[in-house]
Amino acid sequence: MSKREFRCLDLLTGVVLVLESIEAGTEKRVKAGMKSFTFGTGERFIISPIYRLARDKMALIGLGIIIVIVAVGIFAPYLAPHDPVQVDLNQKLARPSATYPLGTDHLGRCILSRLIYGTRVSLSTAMLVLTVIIFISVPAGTISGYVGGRLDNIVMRVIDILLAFPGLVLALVVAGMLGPGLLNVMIALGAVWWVGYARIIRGMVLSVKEKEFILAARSCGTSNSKIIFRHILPNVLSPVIVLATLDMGSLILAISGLSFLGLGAQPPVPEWGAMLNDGRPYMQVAPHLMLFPGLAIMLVVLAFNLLGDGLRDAFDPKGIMRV
Amino acid sequence: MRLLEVDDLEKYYRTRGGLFSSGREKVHAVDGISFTMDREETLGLVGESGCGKSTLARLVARLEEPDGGRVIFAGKDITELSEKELQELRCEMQVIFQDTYSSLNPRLTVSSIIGEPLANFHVGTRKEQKERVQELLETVGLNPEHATRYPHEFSGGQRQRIGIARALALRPKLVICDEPVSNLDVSIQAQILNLLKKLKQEFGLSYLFISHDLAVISYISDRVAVMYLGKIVEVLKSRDLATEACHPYTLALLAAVPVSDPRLREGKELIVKGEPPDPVNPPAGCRFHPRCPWAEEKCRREEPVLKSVKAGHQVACHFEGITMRGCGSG
Repeated sequence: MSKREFRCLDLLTGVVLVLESIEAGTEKRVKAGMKSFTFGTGERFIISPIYRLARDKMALIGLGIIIVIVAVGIFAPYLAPHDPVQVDLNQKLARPSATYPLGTDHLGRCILSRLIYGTRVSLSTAMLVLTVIIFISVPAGTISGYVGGRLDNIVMRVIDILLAFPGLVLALVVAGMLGPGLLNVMIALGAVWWVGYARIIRGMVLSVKEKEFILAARSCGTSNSKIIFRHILPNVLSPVIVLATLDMGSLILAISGLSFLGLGAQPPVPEWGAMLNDGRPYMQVAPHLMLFPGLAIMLVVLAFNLLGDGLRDAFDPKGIMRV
Repeated sequence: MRLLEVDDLEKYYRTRGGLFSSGREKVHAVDGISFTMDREETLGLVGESGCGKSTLARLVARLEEPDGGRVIFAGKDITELSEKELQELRCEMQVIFQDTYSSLNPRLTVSSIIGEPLANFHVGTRKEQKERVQELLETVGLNPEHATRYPHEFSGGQRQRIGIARALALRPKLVICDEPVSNLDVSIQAQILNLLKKLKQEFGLSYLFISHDLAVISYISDRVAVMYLGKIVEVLKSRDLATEACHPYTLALLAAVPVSDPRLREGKELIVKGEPPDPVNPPAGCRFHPRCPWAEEKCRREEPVLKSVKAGHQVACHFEGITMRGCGSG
């Protein structure tokens, strides 16, 4: 066995050992938690999804990646080896080296530093847009589905009109009218993106509304607002959370796309999508220009997908776990 | 004492006309139904699928708005109550549902399900509510420790017990049971029926009990009302059901009950053949005439009204029903 092979094996066993210890740790924690929630009634509802999530290895990995990425964004000034907007034309398109761990772009800027700073822009915009989307679509979809009748018709026709345009093109028009800038891109994406969510939420509300427990709640005197908050939203929200986490990736890409067209992040600002697009002309001579931002986006999307799957399982009271 | 009076209650649903269809059609789910119920009485409502039993239940509980007629509950016309006044009614009238899987919210614990009516009406402090839930669980034969569990952890019979506990939480006077045992195994059915009987004694309840099963109905009710296509065709005491029933449809239902002894099965024929008619276009005259073996010209023209033939026995038939003897010979 050569030295190199031996090292590989060593590394593998190390990883396995680490995973096993993580597993043992969570199991212990779960057992300790079980004891605590057999006493109270209210406790169990809040605690158990968290414990179920804690038992899901893949979701934990996703959560871990997200935490690391967020931390990288927060501590960007301490972690970045260079100034992300510092141009050094002597060093342009440099391959990865000790000074520039991930190489430099066509203006000689450090790719690693730009990626680290880009975390802030990409993640925070995507999250903000997502929050806006949820805050528009959940009330719109729920009220439309629950009240029904004429109101439902009006809301659904507005949604139909918005859905008739390709989303990104419509966002482009809105962003174009508002003028360039990250904030305007966020407004444009939020204004276009909520319709799909509202439609899905309305459909789920309609199906939950037909269940007999809604009738039962009405017959024991529960008010409409309580029915929505107690019976309908909890049964509707978990698929929405999953959908939202899965959509993070497409949102980051959409923001990047608009940035590429000059509507989002303005040139010197480091943003993953803009970096990806900046690197496009040099794909054949310096593929690392596209490779690293692409990997960063992929990692974020993957992490959110893993977490989203885990959340879906954790929110399901039947506790069907993914194996 | 009279608890409930239903007077000429009507409910119809409009079928949606397509883009090119000329008009909308009406489905008469409940078509002019009248009956009364006394305190601490159980009225059984029996009929085939789609005859409007469940719609009637929902109308009486005012979970749906009637299109005509009145429901007088404890001296008040509840069809005219505002939302606020309706809230008070909810204390006195509760519903038990058929589908034990969809009638309990899967995301709430048993204690929050049973405690919901208590919380809605602010009955006592939180601690008292908790104790009341424990008490109710014991009353319906469940372990009070199960309060923290979720509905999916229970079997069908246990889930129906949870539904019963929820209905009893506010100590109602009238409980509307919408096919509470139809989805359960026969052995569990008996348990639930006995539990309902026991609770009736204990709390002085009245049941409006809906089922399509004659055996269940005659076991639990004091009086039976037979429904056919949105109308009541016969009302009688349940102990007289086997001997005194005289409407052809009631006889048909009785004849359809399987006989366990094969030797007794001989000579027994099904009286009614065919499917019930389309409720969108109910037959003219007596609604049962296309399927009735004794139908005559008059039945095709005139609609019979529900009239008393004896104390506590009403029939809607031009010939005041057919006697049991006439049943075999035709």
